[in-house]
Amino acid sequence: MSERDEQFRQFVAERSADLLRLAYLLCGDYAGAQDLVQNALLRTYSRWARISSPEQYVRRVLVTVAADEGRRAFRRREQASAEPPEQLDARDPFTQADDRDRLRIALRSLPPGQRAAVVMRHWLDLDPTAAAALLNCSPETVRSQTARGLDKLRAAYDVSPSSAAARRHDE
Amino acid sequence: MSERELLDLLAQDAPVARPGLADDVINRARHTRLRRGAVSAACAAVALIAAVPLALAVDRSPHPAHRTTPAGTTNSSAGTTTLAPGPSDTALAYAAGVQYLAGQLVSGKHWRVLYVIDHTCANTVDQTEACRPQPIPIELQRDLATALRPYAPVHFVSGDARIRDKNLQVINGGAAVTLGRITLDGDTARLPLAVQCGGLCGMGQTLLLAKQGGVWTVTGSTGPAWIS
Repeated sequence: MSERDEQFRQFVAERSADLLRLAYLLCGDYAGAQDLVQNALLRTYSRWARISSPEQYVRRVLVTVAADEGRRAFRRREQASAEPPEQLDARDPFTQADDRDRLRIALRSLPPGQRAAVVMRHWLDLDPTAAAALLNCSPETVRSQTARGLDKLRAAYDVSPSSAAARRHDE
Repeated sequence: MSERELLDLLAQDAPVARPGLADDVINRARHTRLRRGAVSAACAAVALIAAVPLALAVDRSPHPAHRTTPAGTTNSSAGTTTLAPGPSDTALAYAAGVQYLAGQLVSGKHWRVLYVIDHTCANTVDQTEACRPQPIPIELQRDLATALRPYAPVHFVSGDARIRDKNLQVINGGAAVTLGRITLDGDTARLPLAVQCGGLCGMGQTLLLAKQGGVWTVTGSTGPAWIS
């Protein structure tokens, strides 16, 4: 067993759970997240000797590949439906779905760039500069993408302070 | 509930880490390396075998101009490619398909550059599948770039994220090409591929090709297709 393989196994053992969660947030799809992580790890393994920070590298690969795949799915939704993909069905605003389904659908409805920015800023807790480095854009773009993404997410999930308080009261 | 709490709530549904993931990745990487080496050797052998009869044909050609054709001639509307000896048969078939579909995408447009994704995807046409990428061997990349040189310069990229502007248009007046896995059967081929130039400018199709007189030509298409 080579040293590289041993280091890689240790990295995967320690980080794969978080990477799967990140991938799931980026693509919103269970099987897609597994594929995404495996492909990202494959690229990481092939470049292991040249990478100084495997965590940073694999996150960048996840974001890039998720954005590529997300754009294809985004276009597919535009082809399949006469309505804009990010518009949710107003006749049935998730009355039957539980909170996590609503949130998952709301997050998936975001364009890939906004989704990635929201996840980088609010789940990985990266500052705009660090998020911009991962997303290969400017910090200003990260800020604007995050703001737009959160606005859409809040509108879709209805997490205004008053509704959040009402929900807590109901619980 | 804060944004972090919302995302944590969603992340609870994420897949769990499974044992053996690292070993699967390592085994897949080794398998890819072995297959890459085998494909490279096969492409080199095909190129060598193809070069001999083509060289003889060029020598016997009654038209000296054909022998001196620099990188080949292209008829983009018919999707044919004629080239001097060099690129492998696989590359020539790919090139014919790319020229055909790129020509179909925007009729009469001259692409300033073609950005070809450096791995094939299983979901090039049927986008309900996962990509399951397979790297395109370096020799095939070189041959494909040679085969397409008369049509447009080719750059291989790992993904199309960096070749899109903020409006999702492909930069530099180019088109992004995603190749599927070609199936060669003697003088016929089946090739899924997709060409895109922007968020609402693209098409994916599985092309049928036939080699007639040493030239690959698109003869039709099969299966599902997509247009945006």
